[in-house]
Amino acid sequence: MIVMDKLAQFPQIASRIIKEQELIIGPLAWIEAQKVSDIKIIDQKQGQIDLGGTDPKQVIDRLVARYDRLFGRASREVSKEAAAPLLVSLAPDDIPSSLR
Amino acid sequence: MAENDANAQISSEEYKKVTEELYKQNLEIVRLYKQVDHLNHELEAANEGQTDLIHIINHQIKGYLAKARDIFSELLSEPSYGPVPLAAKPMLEEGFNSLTEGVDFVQKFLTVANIERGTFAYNIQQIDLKKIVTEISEKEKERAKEKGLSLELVVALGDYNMRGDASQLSQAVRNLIDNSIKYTPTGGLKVNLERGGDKILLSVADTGLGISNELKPKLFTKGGRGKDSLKVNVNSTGYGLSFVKGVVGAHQGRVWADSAGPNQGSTFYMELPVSSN
Repeated sequence: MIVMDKLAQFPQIASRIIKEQELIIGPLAWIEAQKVSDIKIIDQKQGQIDLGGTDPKQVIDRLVARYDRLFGRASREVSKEAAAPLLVSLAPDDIPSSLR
Repeated sequence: MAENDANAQISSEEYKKVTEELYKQNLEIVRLYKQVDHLNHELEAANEGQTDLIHIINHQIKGYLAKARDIFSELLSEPSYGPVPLAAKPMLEEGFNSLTEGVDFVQKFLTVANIERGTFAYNIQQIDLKKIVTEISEKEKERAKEKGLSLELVVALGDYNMRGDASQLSQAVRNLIDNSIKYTPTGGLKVNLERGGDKILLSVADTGLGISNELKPKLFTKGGRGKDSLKVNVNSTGYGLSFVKGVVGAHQGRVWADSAGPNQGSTFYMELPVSSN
């Protein structure tokens, strides 16, 4: 069970991952993120994202997997590094499996 | 055959391989960029620190030293204080001389800092470099003589008129010759001035301590003195040659030095374009 204040962390995690991928692959990072179900980009410039669905962990896993599928293992490490500073405040069980 | 190869369809595996490889290359570039960016921030912070330090030296330390020097000067020269006791006079004179040197040093340090930052205001005029080099060589000849060294000036025929800052170029020439005198225990110096095309070349050759390969790249940098420099010259600041480089650079010229190695003498060169402005 993920409590509310922790829920707020997940859009930020997704945003950090996308922005970090953007440094490497450019605007394609946002285009691909948009294709992940339950990710809604509110403001690309501000990096504002809304995560729908019931489990935000799964949405993050799908985002990481999408980049992985397209760009390989290296992209997964990039996603992990990007999210790392925000993961410290989460309990181990709350961390999406793709980022462990 | 080649045409068939070019038209052959790329398999999804190949496509993925290429995409992944491109991703890795881009990632490497981003990592390098981040490193450069990080170093740049560190450099900016260091520069800010240096600017603060220069500000403090300029407004505080120089002020204290100058004030103390003026007090010594007044004690020595102001008649209303009455005659200075004979026993105290040498100490007062020593204090005055030491503080004068201190103020000069701070002034030189600030000038070098301003020259390096490109904020020094040069007074560019039509000058005769031959006149400058001759006058300074004559004065330096006395200093060399005190140390038992010879100083020979050779000026080739030619026109040595150019545009430049007479005061700063004079100091640069003085620094070059001074430097050679300081690091030459025996023998002497040969100062040579010649004109070649649209350039003027000044060289100062000495029979001194020479330059090690380790020191060569640091020679004209701030604080770039040799490791044994202070043993030879206790007043070495390491700013003299840095000043020369800054001034010559501002005149679109260049400086360099040659030496066969330690204890084999050195030759310092200063090349200035005649058309510099």
